[in-house]
Amino acid sequence: MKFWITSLCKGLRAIVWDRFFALAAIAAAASGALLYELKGADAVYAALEDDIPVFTLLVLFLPAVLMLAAIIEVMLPKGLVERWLGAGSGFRGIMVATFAGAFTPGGPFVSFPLVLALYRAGAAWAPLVTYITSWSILSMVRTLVFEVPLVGVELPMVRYLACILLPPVAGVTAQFITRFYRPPEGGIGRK
Amino acid sequence: MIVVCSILWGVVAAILFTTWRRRPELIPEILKRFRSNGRIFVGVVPLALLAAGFLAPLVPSDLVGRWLGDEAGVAGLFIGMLAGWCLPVPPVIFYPVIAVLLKAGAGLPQLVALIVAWNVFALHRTLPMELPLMGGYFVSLRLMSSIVLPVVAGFAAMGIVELLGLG
Repeated sequence: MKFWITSLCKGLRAIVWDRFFALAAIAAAASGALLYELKGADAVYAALEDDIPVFTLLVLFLPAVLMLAAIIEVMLPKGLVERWLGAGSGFRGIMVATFAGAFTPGGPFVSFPLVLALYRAGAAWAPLVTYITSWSILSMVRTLVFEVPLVGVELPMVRYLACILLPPVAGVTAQFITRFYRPPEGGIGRK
Repeated sequence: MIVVCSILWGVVAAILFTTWRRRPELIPEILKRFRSNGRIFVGVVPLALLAAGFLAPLVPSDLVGRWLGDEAGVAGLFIGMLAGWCLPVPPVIFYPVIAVLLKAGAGLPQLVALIVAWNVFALHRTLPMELPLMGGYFVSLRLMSSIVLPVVAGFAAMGIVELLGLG
């Protein structure tokens, strides 16, 4: 099982890397040409000049953030997470899930297998929904790596302030829904 | 900016140094993850940035302003949410689009609703990863629990923008 997930990740990563690189190169060339065609060379220079502060930010911050993500990924003790989210953890479990989700680095290849492992270890529904919601909305690493370099600081800041309470809301809602929407017999997920 | 950057680098260096002293066997693993995570940012992100910069002046800003700008108000929140649902693309494509919309005059609350809707719905990871791994029950439970979050986040963002005097 673990072997299959790892090889799947490797394979997908290679494909994604190649395709996105080609796509991004084509997009950059095409949009540059389009801008030159429609608005002339001055507009192209102005656009490049606008990019300078963003690139500076990228070069200064990104290596440090990526290194931090790699450190967390390697050193995060998996057993600790499972202990805090178990069934009967109630509202504390929801809060812990919010924090854990916000600080889980990496893509869906990290978080979904982790959630399945948590479910098998006896975690309750509400913390699992909270965890995935928090990881989707509040993921620190995704914000620092993708969002801040591309859109600046203001939008992410407003978004965090507006969203900080939402994962617990989703968790409590899930808790409520499970009362009349029962899980299927025999459990969920891939065996 | 420089201060934040130096603190960040200091923390990273300190953790790396302690790890190297105490558990040196972890260092190669950390470097491996760093390399594989970082690969995409050498090529894709700078190119996406370039493309976003080139496209921003071309997007009709009066149109974006009318649909997603501050004057779109509450209707803009719902338009943003719909747009977020309809963009099942990975972050390397998604955030350049947001950058273009921001430069073209989209409002912060409307973009918050858009981003949250994209985050929650995210067909590009629900279909290939979540559904096969977790099953239909978990996916439906999660979507039912978070269906209203984008609009709630948008309203909260409106209050915050008002409070902080941004936008």
